[in-house]
Amino acid sequence: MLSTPAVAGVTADPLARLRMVSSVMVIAVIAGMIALVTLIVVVFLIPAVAPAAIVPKVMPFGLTEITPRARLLGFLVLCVPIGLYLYGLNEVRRLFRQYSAGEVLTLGAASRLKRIAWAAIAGAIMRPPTMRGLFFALSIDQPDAELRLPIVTTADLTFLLFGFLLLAIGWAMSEAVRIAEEHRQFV
Amino acid sequence: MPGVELSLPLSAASRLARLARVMEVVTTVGIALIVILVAVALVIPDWTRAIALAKLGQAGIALPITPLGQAVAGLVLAIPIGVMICGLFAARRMFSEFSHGEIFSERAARHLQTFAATVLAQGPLGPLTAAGFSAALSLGNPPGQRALTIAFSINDYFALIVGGVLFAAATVMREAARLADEHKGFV
Repeated sequence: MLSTPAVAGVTADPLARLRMVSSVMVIAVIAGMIALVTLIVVVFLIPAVAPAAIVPKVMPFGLTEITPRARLLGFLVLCVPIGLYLYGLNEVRRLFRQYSAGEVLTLGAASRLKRIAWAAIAGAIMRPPTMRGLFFALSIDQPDAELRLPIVTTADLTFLLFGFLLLAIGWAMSEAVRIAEEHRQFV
Repeated sequence: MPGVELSLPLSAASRLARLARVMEVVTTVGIALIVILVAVALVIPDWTRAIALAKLGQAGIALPITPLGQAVAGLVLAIPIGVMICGLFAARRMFSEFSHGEIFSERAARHLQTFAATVLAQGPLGPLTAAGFSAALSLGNPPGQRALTIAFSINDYFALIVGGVLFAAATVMREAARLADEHKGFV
C-alpha cells in the first residue's frame, strides 16, 4: 500500500493539494446527494411546488399538465436511476474521503474507482430508457402527447466513455497496487 | 524506498494493452460520432429543436428555428464540443500510451489530467452554452422578443464530479509515475 506518509519521506508531501481538494470534494458530493434527493422529492411529491420548479429535463416533453397520478408514476420511474446515482456518488464520497486521509494508491481506492466506473456505465445505458419511461409516466393522462427528445444524446456517449476510461484506470491501479504490495512483503 | 515497482506482469499488461487498443478505437468512433451528430443536428430543424428542448426545457419549445439562428447556435455549441473533443483526443493519446505498456508514465498521467480538465470545464460551460444557445435561436424573433434563458442540468453537476474523480486519479497516477521513476533511478 502506498500512502502519503511513505511519500513524505521522499519530498514534503507532494499529495497535500490532492488531500485538500479531496476534503472539499467530500463536502461537494454530500451537498449534491442531499440536493438531488431534495429536488426529486420536492418536484414529484409536493404538487404545490412542482408546476413552477420542475426540472428542465422533465418538462422538455412539452406536457402542459402533469396529474398527481402521473407525478407519482414519474417518481417511481426515477427511483431506480436515482438510487444508482446515489450509490455512485456515495462511492465518489468514500473515494475522496480515502484520498483526504492520505490513502492514495490502495486496493480499496482502486476498487472504488471501478465501482464508480460501473455506476457511470450503467447510468449512461439506463438514461435513454429512463427518459422514455418518464415520458410515458408523465403523459399517462395525455394520450396525444408526442415524445420529441432524442433517444441518445452526446452526454450519454461521453458518460459511457468516462465509465470505460475509469474502469481501465481502476483496473490498472489495482494491478499496480497488488504488485507494489507483493514486492513490499517480499522485501 | 523498496516495493514501488509499478510495472504490470505480462498477462495483466497484455490484457490492459488489448483493452486500451479497443478504447482507442471506441474514443475515435466517439469523437467522429459527436462531430457528425452535432453537425447534422444543426442542419435538420427538428434535431435543432431537440437540442433546444434538451438544453432549455420548456423554453426551447417556443424558440424559432431559422438558418441564421442555427448558424449562430452552431458557433455557440462549437465551444463546449471543441473543449470535449480536445479532451477526447487527450484520452485517446492516453490509451495509446497504455497500449504501448506505458501505464504509470508521466505522459499518460498528463493526458488524463488534460481530459479531466476538459470534463470539469463542461460543468460551468453547460449553463453558459444554454444561455448562448437560447440567445442565438431567439435571433429569429423580432426585436423586443429576443430572450436569454439560463438552464442548469444535473449533467453539469455530474461533469464536475466525474471531472474531479478523473483529476484526482490523474494526480495519483502522476505521483505513482514519479515514484516509479525515482525507484528506477535509485536501483
